[in-house]
Amino acid sequence: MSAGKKPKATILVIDDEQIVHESVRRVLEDAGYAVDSALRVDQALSMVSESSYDVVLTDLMVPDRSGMDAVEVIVRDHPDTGVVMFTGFATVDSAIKSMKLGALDYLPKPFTPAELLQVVERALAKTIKARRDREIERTYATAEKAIKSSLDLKELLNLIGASVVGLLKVKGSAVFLYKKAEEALELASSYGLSDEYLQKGVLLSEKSISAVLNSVKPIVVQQEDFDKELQYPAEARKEGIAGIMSVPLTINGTVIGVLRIYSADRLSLTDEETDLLLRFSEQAARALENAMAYERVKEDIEGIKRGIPGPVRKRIQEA
Amino acid sequence: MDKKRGKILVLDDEQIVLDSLSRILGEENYAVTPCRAGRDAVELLKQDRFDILITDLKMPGMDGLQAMESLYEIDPDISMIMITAYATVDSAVKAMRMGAVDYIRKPFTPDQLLELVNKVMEDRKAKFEKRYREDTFEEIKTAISSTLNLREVLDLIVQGVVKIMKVKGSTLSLLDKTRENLRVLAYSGLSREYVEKGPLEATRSISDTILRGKHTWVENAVEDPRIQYPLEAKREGIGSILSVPLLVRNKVIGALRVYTSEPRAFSEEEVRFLYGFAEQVALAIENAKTYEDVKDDYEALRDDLWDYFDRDGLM
Repeated sequence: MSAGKKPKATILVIDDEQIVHESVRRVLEDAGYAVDSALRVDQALSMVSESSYDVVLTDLMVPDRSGMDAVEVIVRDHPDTGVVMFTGFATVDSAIKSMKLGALDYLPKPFTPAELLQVVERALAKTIKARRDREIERTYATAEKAIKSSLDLKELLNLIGASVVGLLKVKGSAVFLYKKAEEALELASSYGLSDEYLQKGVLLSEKSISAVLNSVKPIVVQQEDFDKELQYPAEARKEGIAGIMSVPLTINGTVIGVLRIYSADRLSLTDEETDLLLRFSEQAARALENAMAYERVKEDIEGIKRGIPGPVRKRIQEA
Repeated sequence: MDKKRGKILVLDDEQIVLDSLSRILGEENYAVTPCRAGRDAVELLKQDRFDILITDLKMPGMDGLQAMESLYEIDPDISMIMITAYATVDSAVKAMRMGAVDYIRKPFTPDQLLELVNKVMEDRKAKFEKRYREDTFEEIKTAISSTLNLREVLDLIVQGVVKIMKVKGSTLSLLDKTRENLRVLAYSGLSREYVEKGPLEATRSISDTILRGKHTWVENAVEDPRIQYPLEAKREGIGSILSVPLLVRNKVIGALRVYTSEPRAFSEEEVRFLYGFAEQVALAIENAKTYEDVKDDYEALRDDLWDYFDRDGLM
């Protein structure tokens, strides 16, 4: 591997023949992968526990244990690592058995460098996708729990903003709450955006954001439409924003606010990410509603207390 | 007539294979739809839902692998089995990579086929039950987080857990101020008589385990010495009881229990699910309590004021 360059991925090869290691290593390293070798299954499994490999290639017949054991243990204990079986004794039965156990592929020996690279690339893509799906589910669960654990409106607004940025790995976010009296949206909190951008001016009549109020559907505005759809297109570009998505926060069909996410690149969410964002927005809306109810009662108490002169308050307490 | 055990789409270009598979599976009460070309299978799947696809590999026109690809696209939930007289490593790997649940060689015995089909149906049942639990959990979580009314929150929790876990009943108890007694505040699926049988002592082993933040499983409520009220449990028809603690910031605030009518074990997944559920609802309970407390303060203050200005009760 060329020094100083970050490897595409880390691969562990399990095989008892040195010559296999040498040829596989050459092919994979030339393609930019970092390769480690193990001659025994037990040795390989402890290596997998110590450093997390992206993909493990295992021979079927290894002197100490079957490569099938390696597949089973890695699938069970290391879900972030993909595993592929390769063998000089390819049979239909071992192919089916290994893949039922969770091997991502099965490659009969001998194979060409192109075949090896194709199998590794495909396995790597599947592993990365599965890892990302699990990570996003985990992040979502944590985010959902976080926003449900607070009735403090300010804290909650910050949690919503930070959570959605972490969840979708975007530049920034903002929450706007709908003020019934003024019939307008008011910026309640933001995350990852500069003060300058936030203070650009009155946000109330922004075009795309009011459209969300009416359509009650998420609206995406990419940079080429900024001039048409945004009130402050130049400021958005200066802030380094290339895509904005506005998601209504609703309770039983009534909009109580808007959650906006700002992306430094064109905004392109997968269907899964969009689903997650909508689920999150629904939970966020409920949490906000609860926090606002709590806040109102607290304000009522403060209001009453403020309305009573000090000496009287003291006498009430004594009474 | 009995309810069919499952719907199976069989795709093979040879009529004799279709006939024999239809007979073997039909006798075991599966509803079989035979089909001789991949195109037809695609049309059938667009109109109807099937549990399992059994497809041959080599067929004129669309082969088995191509058919699997098209069918999977229409219904990713269909379980696919490939059968072939020309088994090769290459086609086996391709079929498995495409998501086949198995790949078997012709000829096979009726028993081999039935064993496989029955196993696939069981796996599907488990998969769909898990999905049902997850979906229902989402709905119930949303309902619970839509209210700050403590009574409503508690009722939604016990009703929800009975619905999701398909158990006989459920109770939710919270620790009183002394932290010595667990008081049942909501229940579902159980008689009032049973629920009000008496206080649960925190010093008894089960409550003690809960207070230490661990779950307990009573396999047989009538015979287990840890049970404080075995006779009442028998009268109520209770088999097993699973209790998990309700934790807020690592502090136990109460317990969530599920009751089955037959003595049985709980799967690791069920236990994990109940923990997850308890974790989520504990937060909702805490929020509702916080809200009620501040509302009580507000009302008390208002009443005090009223009393102060109207000491003689004239107004």
